Amino acid sequence: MDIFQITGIGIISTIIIVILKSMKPDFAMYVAIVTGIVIFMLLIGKISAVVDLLREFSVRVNIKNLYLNTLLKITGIAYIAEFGAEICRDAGESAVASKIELAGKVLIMVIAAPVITSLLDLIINIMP
Amino acid sequence: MFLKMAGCLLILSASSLLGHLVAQTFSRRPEELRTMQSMLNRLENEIKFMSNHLSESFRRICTENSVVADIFLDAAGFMDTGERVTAQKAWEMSIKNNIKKTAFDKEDEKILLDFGQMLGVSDLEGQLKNIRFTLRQLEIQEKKAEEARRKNETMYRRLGVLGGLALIILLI
Amino acid sequence: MGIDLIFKVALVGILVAILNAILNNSEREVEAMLTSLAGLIVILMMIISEIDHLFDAIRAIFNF
Repeated sequence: MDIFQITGIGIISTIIIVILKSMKPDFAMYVAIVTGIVIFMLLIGKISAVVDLLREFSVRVNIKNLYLNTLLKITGIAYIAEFGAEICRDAGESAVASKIELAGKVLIMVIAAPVITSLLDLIINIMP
Repeated sequence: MFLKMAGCLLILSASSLLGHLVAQTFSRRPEELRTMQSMLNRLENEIKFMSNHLSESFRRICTENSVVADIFLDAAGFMDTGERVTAQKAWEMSIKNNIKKTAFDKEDEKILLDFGQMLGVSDLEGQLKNIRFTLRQLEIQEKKAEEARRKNETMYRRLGVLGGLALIILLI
Repeated sequence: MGIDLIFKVALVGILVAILNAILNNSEREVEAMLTSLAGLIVILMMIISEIDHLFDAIRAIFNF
């Protein structure tokens, strides 16, 4: 079962990080980064399957492809921004972390703009 | 699988050996300096109390089987071949032949060559002064060598092992 | 890939820590700093290809 693998990896790497923190704190950060990447790569297959399922349904229900893609992009931006921000915060740089999160928010707004535009159009059309 | 382990062991033993060898040059130098000093002491006594030929004295002071003794024995050999080989020349040739086998460094070599310059040139008192002067120089060198040994010997040994480990980690 | 990479990074980190301690002990601070930097560069080289894969995968899934 995958959850056992991933939990095992997580626990082992936490132990390693704690050990490294007492010897050489900077290198502990690298192990944290690598662990995050490794666990994510192990999950990619499953995530991809779920996304494909969503696409299939969106085709059936006849939602415009644009909307689903926008949603997925927003999710992707949110994930990467959170990944980077957490790592910075772990290393003690919460200033940099907040900047990364700010960038994530701004980019999400930018990407969501067309969707918001069409929503507003719709509302304006409905209103008398 | 086994090939990998065999390779790892090979790399590890090779690098540890390398570190050990480098560490050895640091550990041999103080000892050889001390041996040289004790032999020069014996030479001083030989010259003071016996009236032997220089090559004979050189032979008599060599009681141990060390590289330092070889310097004296070779010099004695060169002197005995006759043909106007002066004591200085014989000493110089012996040093040039043997310096690679010892752990002496450039400074030590200079001190020993300077010692050779005064060999057999002046009278008894001059010889004794030469020997005592060289002894003092060698004592300073010995202290410096001991210091270098303290700092470097264990370090290079450990560096050898750790360097091997680093190579293994990088290659696997 | 997987747990191997984590172990490699961890071992490099431990090695660098030990080398640092030894070199500092023999009063050779310069070499200590250099080995730390070298360890850093090695780890970065190991990580960078993995980060590349990560971003490629994310791009593929979320359709950037």
